[in-house]
Parts: sequence; C-alpha cells; structure tokens
Amino acid sequence: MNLPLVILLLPAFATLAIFAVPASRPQVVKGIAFLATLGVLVASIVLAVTFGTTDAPSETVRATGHVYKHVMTVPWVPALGLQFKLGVDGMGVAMVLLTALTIFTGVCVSFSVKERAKEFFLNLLALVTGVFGVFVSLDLFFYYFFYELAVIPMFLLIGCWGSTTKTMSRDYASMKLVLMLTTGAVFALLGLLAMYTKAGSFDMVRLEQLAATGTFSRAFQLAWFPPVFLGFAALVPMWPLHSWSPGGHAAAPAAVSMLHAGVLMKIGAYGILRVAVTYMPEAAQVYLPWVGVLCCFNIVYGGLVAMAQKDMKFVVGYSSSSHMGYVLLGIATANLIGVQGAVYLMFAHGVMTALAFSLIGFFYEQTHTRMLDDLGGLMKKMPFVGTCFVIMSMASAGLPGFANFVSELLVIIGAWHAGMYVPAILATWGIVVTGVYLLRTVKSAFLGRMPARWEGLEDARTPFQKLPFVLLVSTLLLFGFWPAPLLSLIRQGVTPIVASLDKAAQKTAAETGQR
Amino acid sequence: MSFASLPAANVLGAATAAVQDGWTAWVILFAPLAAAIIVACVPPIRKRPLAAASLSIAAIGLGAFLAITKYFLPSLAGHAETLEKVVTWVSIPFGDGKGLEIGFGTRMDPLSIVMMLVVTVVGLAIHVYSLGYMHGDPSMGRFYGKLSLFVFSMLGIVVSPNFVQTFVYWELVGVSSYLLIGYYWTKDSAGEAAKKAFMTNRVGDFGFLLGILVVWKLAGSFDFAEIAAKLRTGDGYDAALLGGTFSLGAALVFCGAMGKSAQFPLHVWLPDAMEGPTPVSALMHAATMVAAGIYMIARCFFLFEGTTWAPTLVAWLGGITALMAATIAITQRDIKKILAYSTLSQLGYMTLALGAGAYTGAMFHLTTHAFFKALLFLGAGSVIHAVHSQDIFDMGGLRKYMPSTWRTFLLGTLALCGIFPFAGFWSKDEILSAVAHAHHLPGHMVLYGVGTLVAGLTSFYMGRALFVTFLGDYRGPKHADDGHGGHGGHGDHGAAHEPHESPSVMTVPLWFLAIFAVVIGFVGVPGNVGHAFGLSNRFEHFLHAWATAEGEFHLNVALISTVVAVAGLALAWRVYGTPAARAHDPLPERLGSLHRIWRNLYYVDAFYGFLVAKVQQGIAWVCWLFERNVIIGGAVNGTSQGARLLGDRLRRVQSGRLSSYVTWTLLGAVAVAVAVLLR
Repeated sequence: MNLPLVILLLPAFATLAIFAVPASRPQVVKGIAFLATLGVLVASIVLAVTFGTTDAPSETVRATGHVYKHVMTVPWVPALGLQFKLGVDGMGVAMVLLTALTIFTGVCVSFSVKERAKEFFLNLLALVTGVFGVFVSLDLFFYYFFYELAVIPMFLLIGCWGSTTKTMSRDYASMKLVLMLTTGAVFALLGLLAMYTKAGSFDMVRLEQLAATGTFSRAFQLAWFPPVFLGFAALVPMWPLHSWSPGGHAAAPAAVSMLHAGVLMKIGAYGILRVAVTYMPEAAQVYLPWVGVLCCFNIVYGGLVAMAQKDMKFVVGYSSSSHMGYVLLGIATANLIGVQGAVYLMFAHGVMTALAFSLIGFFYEQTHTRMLDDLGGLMKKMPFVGTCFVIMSMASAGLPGFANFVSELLVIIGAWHAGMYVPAILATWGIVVTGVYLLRTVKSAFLGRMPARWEGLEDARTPFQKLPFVLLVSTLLLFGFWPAPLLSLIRQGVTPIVASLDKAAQKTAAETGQR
Repeated sequence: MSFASLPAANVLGAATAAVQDGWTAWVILFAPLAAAIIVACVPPIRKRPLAAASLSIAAIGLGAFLAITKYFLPSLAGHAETLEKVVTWVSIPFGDGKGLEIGFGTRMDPLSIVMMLVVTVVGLAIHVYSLGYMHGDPSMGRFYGKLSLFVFSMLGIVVSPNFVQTFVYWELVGVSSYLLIGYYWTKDSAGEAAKKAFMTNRVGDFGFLLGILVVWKLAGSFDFAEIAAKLRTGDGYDAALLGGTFSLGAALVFCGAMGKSAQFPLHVWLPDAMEGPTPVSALMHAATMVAAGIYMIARCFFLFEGTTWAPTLVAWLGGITALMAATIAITQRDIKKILAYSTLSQLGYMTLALGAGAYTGAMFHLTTHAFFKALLFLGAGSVIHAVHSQDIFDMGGLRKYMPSTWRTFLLGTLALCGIFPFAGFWSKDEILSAVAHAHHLPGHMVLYGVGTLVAGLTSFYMGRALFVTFLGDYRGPKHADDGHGGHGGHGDHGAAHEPHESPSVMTVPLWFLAIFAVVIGFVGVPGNVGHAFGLSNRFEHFLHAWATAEGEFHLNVALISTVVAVAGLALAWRVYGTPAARAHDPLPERLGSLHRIWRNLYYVDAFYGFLVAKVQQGIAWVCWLFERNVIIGGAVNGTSQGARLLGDRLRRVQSGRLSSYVTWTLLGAVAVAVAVLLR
C-alpha cells in the first residue's frame, strides 16, 4: 500500500466521515479526528523510519540522481498532461512527519473546543489534507491545488473560531491572511504556468530532469524566478511580506495557530527549495545573495518587534517570522551545511512553535487574556504548563539539547562557510535578541507574584492533557540530542538541490570566464 | 520507590560494564544527568527531599570516586596518557575534504583530570552541605535535580574534546545557572537576576560562537587536538596561520570566557547571581562554573600563546576586573556580595595570569580558589542560616556562638588573603611572579603593581568581613523574633533567640574544605624552593603536557605581597577594631566620593540598565512603530484601501441612470473622433 496515499486519504476520509456525523454528537466527531490523526502520525513515523530501506516503487531523476520513493501515478487528463502523482524524498518525509505531529497534537488540544465542534474539526482536517497534499504531490498542478485547498479552511477557522483583541479583529486577520497568501500564490502560479508551457509537463520528476538538462534558459530563469520565489516567500514569510503572519497567529484558535506557524509557513520554504531553486538554479545563484540580505531583516527586525509586544501570541508570532529568517538564510547559503540546517530548522521550528501555541492556548482558555501585564506567577498554579513553556523558550532561544540549536548552528556555520559573514554575525546576534524577549515573556507570565484572580487556574492534570506537550517536548529533545537520523533523511532530499546549485555556479563561472 | 529501583539496578550494571570498557568518563558525565532526569520525571522521588538528595549525592560521589581511582591515582603513578572516547555527533560530508565533522565524547588529560577533581570533590562537599542548608524547603527535590543538571553540564565542558561540545555544555551551564539563580522564583529580584545572568552570558557567547567560527574557518576543525596540531610546526607555531585574523578569533573566543568567568565588561551578572541559595553561590558562582572560562582558555591556550595582541587584551581585562571588583567589595555590606566581588577579583587574577602566559599559575589559583572560596561561601551560608540576615553589620560576635564556622571562616580568609603558608599564598604568588617577569606583555609592571595592590585590598575587605561578623558582641535582633512561624526564604526553623552553630551535616563539609584550604597550596610549591624541603611542584609536573615554563619562586615578589596582605589586614583591624566601627560603618565618611563611586559599582550596572531599558527597548519601539505604521498601516492597509477606493470610483460609473450612460457614450465618441482626427 502506498504510504503517502494513506497519509493523504486518512484525513480526507475523516473529513467526509465528520460531515456525516450529526452536530449533536461532538464526542464522535472528536473521536474520529483523534483516530484519523493518530493513524496519520503512525503512518508518518513508519514512513520516516523505513524510508532508507524501503523497496517501494521509486523514480529517479537521471540527471541529478535524486530519488523519490513511494511513487504512484494515476493519469487524470492525459490530453493536458495532468496526472495525480504522489511520492516523497527525504525532505518531504521530514515535512510529512512534522505535519502529522502537529495535527495530532493540535487535535488533542482542540478537544476543549465547544462551539460548533463538528464544523471546527471538519475544517481542521480539510486544512491538513491540503497540507499533506502539498508535501506528497509530485505534480505541480496538484501541488498548487492542495495548497489552495489549505488556505480556504484556514480563512474559516480564523474568521469563525478566532479571537478578537483590542488591537485587531479576527475578520481583519483572516481576510488579510487569505488575500496576501492568494496574491502570493497567483504570482507563483504565473511562474508555474510559464514552466509548464516551456517544458510541456507538470510532472515534477520530469521537470527536474528537464531543468537539469538545460531546458530553462538563463534568461527564462532570470525572468521567472522572482515571481515564483516571491510567491512562496510571502508564505515563509519573508520581510517585508510578513505582516499577515503574526496577526494570523494571534487571531487563530490554538490548533490553527499550531498548524499555521508550525506547518503552513514551511510550505513556503519547501516551495522555494522544491520548485524555485530546483528548477531555476542559475537564477537562484543570482538572486539568493539578496535573500541573504532580506533575511537579516527577518531575524533582527522581527526579533526587535517581538521585543516590543505585550500580547504573548504576538511575541511568538514575530518570533516565528524572525526564526523563519534563519531558514531563508540557510537556503541563501546554497551549501550543504546551510540548506540542511534550513530544512532541519523547518522541522524544529515547526515543533517548537506548535508547542508554544498549544501552551498559550491552554492557559488562554482559562485566563481569556494573553497580555503580559495581566499575567504573572502562573508557575504557582500551572507548574507543568509553566515548565513546558520554559522548555519551549529555551528551545526557541537556541539552547543546546534541542533540535533548534542543531539547525541554527548549521545555518550559521553554513553562512560562515559561504563567506556570508555579516548575515552570520547578525544571525548570531539574533539568538541573543531571541533570548531577551523570551526570557522577559517567561518572567512576566510565569514568574514573580501571581495576581489573586488567577487562584482558580488549573494545570494540565490528566495524562491526555499532558500528552501533546510531552510529545512535542520529547521530539525537540530527541532530535536535539541525536540529530543524525533526521539529518541523513533531509540530506537525501537536499543533496541534489545543492548539487544543481553548484553546477549552476560552475556554469556561470565558466561562461564569464569565456567572455 | 520500588519501581524505580529496578531500572536503577540496570543502570548500575550498565555503568559497571562501561567502566570496565574504558568509558569511565562517560559514566562520570552521565551519572548526574541520570539523577536529574529521575528526579524530574519520577514524582515519588521528587517529592521526597531525602530520596532526591541521596540520588544526587550518590551521582556526584560516584563521579568523585571514579575520577580519583580511575584517572587521578593512575596518572600520578605515571600512566598519564590522553584517553579519548569520541563518537560522531553531526557529520556532513561535502567537497573533497571530510566536510563538517562534530564529535561528542570525552577527552581525559591532566588538565581535565584536575578540573574534574575540583568539580566533583568541591561539588560533593556542597551537595552534602545543602542537606542541612535546604532542610525544610518543600521543593528540595527540585533543588537537587537542578544541581545535578548543573554538575552534568559542567562536567561536559571539562571532558569536551572540541569547541562545539564545549559550546553546547557552556550553554547548558548557563541554563542550569538560570534555573538555580531563579530558584526562589516568586521573588521578583531572583527572576531578574536569573535573566540578567543568562543574557549577559549570552552576549559573551555571541562572541564565543563567532570566535569558534573564525577558528574553524582557519583551521578546518573544531577539535582542540586537531587545531593545535595544525598550528604547531615543530617547536613553535605556524606564524602564517597566526595572522591578525587568528588573534581576532582568539579574542572572540575569550568573549565566552568573559561572560562565564565574569570579566569586565561582562561582570555585572555575578553579584546579582547571589539571589540563588547560598550553596549554589558556593558551587557555581564561586568554585566551579565561573572557573569554566579560565578552564576553557587554558584548554585552548595554543590559540593565545602564539597570537599577537589577544593575550595583552586578556591580561589587561583581567587586571581591570581584579582592581575594580576589589574596590567594590570594600563598600559592600552584604556578606555574600563581598564574597561575590571577591570572586570577581580573584577570577581577574586568573585571567591576568592567562594573559601573561602563566597557564599553570591560572589553573593552580583556580584549584586553590575553588576550595577556599567554596569554604567561605558555605561559611557565609552557615552564618546566614543562623542569623537570617546577610548584612554583616547586623551580625557580630558570632565567634562565641558558632565556633566551627568561625574557625573555618578564619582559615578560608587567611587562604584568600595569601598569608604564608595557606593555599592562596602559593597560587597568588605564582601569578604575581609570572606577571612581574612577563616581559613580552606591554605594561607588565603596571599589571604587577595592580595585582599587588589588589592583594592588599583583598586582605582589607576580608578582614573587614571577618572582624565585623565574628568579633565583638552580637548586634542582631536577639529577642525580636519571638513569633512562632518561620519566615524568610530558606530553611527557617522556628524562632531563633540567638544564633547557634549549624548542624554537623553543614560543619563537616566546612572542615573538609578548610583542610584543603590549608594544605592544597603545597602541591604547587615552586620547584626552586620546594627542592630544599623535598617537595616538588607536583601540580605543574602533573600538567606538564601543556605547560611551557615552570613557575619560579621569587623571594622579593613573595615578600612584597605578604607585607601588603598583612598591611591590609592590619588596616582592617585599625578601622574595624572598635565596637563603634562595627556597629556603624565608618568607611563612607572616610572615603567620601570614592566610596560613592565604588558603592555604585562604577555606574556600570546603571549604564547597562540604561542601555537595556532605554536604548534597546527604544529601538524595539521604533521598529514596532515602523511595523505598525509603515508596513501594516501604510503598505498593507494602504494597498487594500487603494483597491477599495478604486473600486468605489469605478462603481460610480455604473450608476444605472440612462442619461449618465448617454453622456459617457457621447464623450467617448467625441474622444475617439478627436483621436482619429488628430492622427
């Protein structure tokens, strides 16, 4: 049985099943969502663990030696060359694992949703179906289709179940998010269509082969790399296209923030690597240094803005855009160390940020405020949640022992290796800035004296309440202490990309040499 | 606890097997981690103070035992070989070389053995002492768990074979320090102090990481031995490799040490760190953690030995720190703060020694200091435990009530002041001799003068603390504390009518450390005097693998520093010999504005406070204003408003009025006609 198909269909069928359950039976809805996502998580772990040894049908890009495994093709509109094609490489597996982990824990923390639970889970599972679709598709048409599929439920989830604060309404946040993301996507689509007309295929394996053998001329690449890149970069989000993200995080309900910051933003970085850089490496070599400049704004500016925030979700939101700057920096290094670090960070940051939003969601349900000035001393009533929050902050601040440290270290080493000294120095300084605002958050929310009105707060007590937090913390620790397995998985996927970048650089150097 | 004993047996079995296979250092390293994890994850143990404490003490005790029997004694017997057990942690092959290789493991050589002994032996004494000091604290399990985490992190630095592992554990030490300083987390000041310590260290680590990258780029490796091999050509150093960039790398690496060992200008966190429980101050912020910076520089001494300007920078910063901290210490009233600034000052000595090239001298002073400063802190803890105050002017006359504490504190003071023949005499003297004869160092005689002056200041502030605390009559509130309930942060046990000696679980560690404070100096008696008495400089011989030149005894240096030290004590007695002076500190009037500057810590803390609260936060606010008004308000909302406005205008075209349509059509026709005619 094709594992990516299972992973894609489980949430899809669960969505349909929930559709059939009457709204008066929320327990059944939650049960279905729980079982389906648990199944997806198990399947993803199996996929990741067996990836190196599996003998499932695979397809290789001859020119680069890039292997996609678990490949399955179903013709759809043969006349247009459209097909439903699934398959994954190491990078895809890492992202699938991240998504599965996030949605499973997201469903666990959403058990407390009372208002219109049926519709909530329906949208949540539809959303995650789209996300899985992006990571397992090997056909650009479906890749794009699944991406759009993910955006619509996001709009509803934030617009209907989101929270409105003094500074920003949920309508504004959801509208802005969808408009900015779809605008970005349209730009990317233009590029995808240009590639389609040039190459005559949406098949991503074939496109990779054609790109490696020089189908896309230098002029073509230089013209079309910017729209494709910017389309995905808006999703990352790259400065200055980032303003949809902190607001979106802040307004969204916990599980949606988790998916949103944990996974959705990684689709952007994934698209940059999988599509923009892979198909247009020569243009990438030209434009990536500029990305190396812009990402510094992400890192430092994002961190500084986070420092000025008073709403915890905005702190974490701007912190996310700051951390995604490291991902962009890793990609901009165009070497194996940096790009691996970038993908590792996509995973690590996803898990860390899911943990952050699940924890904030947990106490927000009781306090109904996330403003740092209102909180304080929560550790007294919530030792477990508080401890997890400290752990999350430490992970986010790039402390060793957590996966984030490994990835940030690799990104910085990669940047140094690539001679990008100034971005590397700023990135290192960014770690200091992260420490400042996170420790401040920890201190004002969890330490010190507790206002009397929080006496009634309850900690996570039951094993089920603790499960999502424990799962996410242990994942961060596992891959922080033992990075080798995940790194080799990622390496399988990014080595061909880096190789094509190297080849493009050599080609450019040779051409300038001839002239 | 029955279910915990089964895995414990397995763990013990595995550990025994590992020791037999030569992985002893791994066992020493991971035993405290295991203790920390068990304490953290097994509530029945965490909630039983004694169970958690005995687990932690067992872990560090095992470490001390193994370190002595498996490494120290064999190497004394002449088997001092370098033992490495390293596995690959991260490996990214690329290019034609081996790519990026980061190892994880243990490297045991004389240097790490010495440091491991200091950490485990001093640590063991403090672990035991804490049983008494923390007695009655409901979250003692949490305390011991964190303490074990710290020991694990510290040992990780000690055994580290490469820069990345050092950095990893460096950060973990920072975390455990954060957790322990903030132990009394309901206190606002504790939370602030923890944050300050963490962030100041982070600033240092920023430089450290960049330094590691510079060195990596130049030497192509993170491994200490590999970098050293790359730099060494024959007897000397590869001059080509040690260009200006390498000096920069060395200086940046030193930034890390500047943070952890609290050297100017990153010294501000250490005195505040005294918010933690006193045993923590003794273990981390006096004896071991703050010594990590010195140890790290000693570990990668090859970077400094050959570079041009980095050692000068190191020496001068050390000298400045020593002088600055000693002067501040004079003005402090809090017994822990006095000791904290004293620690800063002594660390300054060690840094000065490193800059002067006296690497064994620095390690020697580190070792002796670890014992006597831990002793002094524990003594202070014993005093605080008895009188529930930290202000020395609230104390007095404790000699009568606390004889053991008084005697051990006296021994510790004499050792710190460098009075012959106590430990500090030998180690401080070695440093001063080295500085006096470091002719390659610009301004070495000035630094020697500073060092000697600091010796006098040290005697003065320690004499002040000793006389005011222990002599005369008790000035504390004898009967004020008549109530029943215990209050105050730590281990209160009811109302204390008058101070009384601490329990033996606290005084035995005091005596244990006091013995070391007296005798440990003899392991490093310089060769040229030692031979006359049948002693050789065992410490230096032990470290011979790295040592370049032997320290020599110089009678004039020793005489001068002894005279200065005694003079400091005498001056302290002159000032604080009267009951009136002990009740009311005469120093502010006598020193005037100088006192004000010292009392205000040279305004460094105030300046940093301004930087953080005003400048940094100001920049953050400017960014946020830009974000809110330009990016969100301008670009994003502007685009949406522009679209709305445009739509609104275009909408008016379709008004539904026939007359308007006719008008537009006619106007259009005219326009077309004009266009055609004009062509």
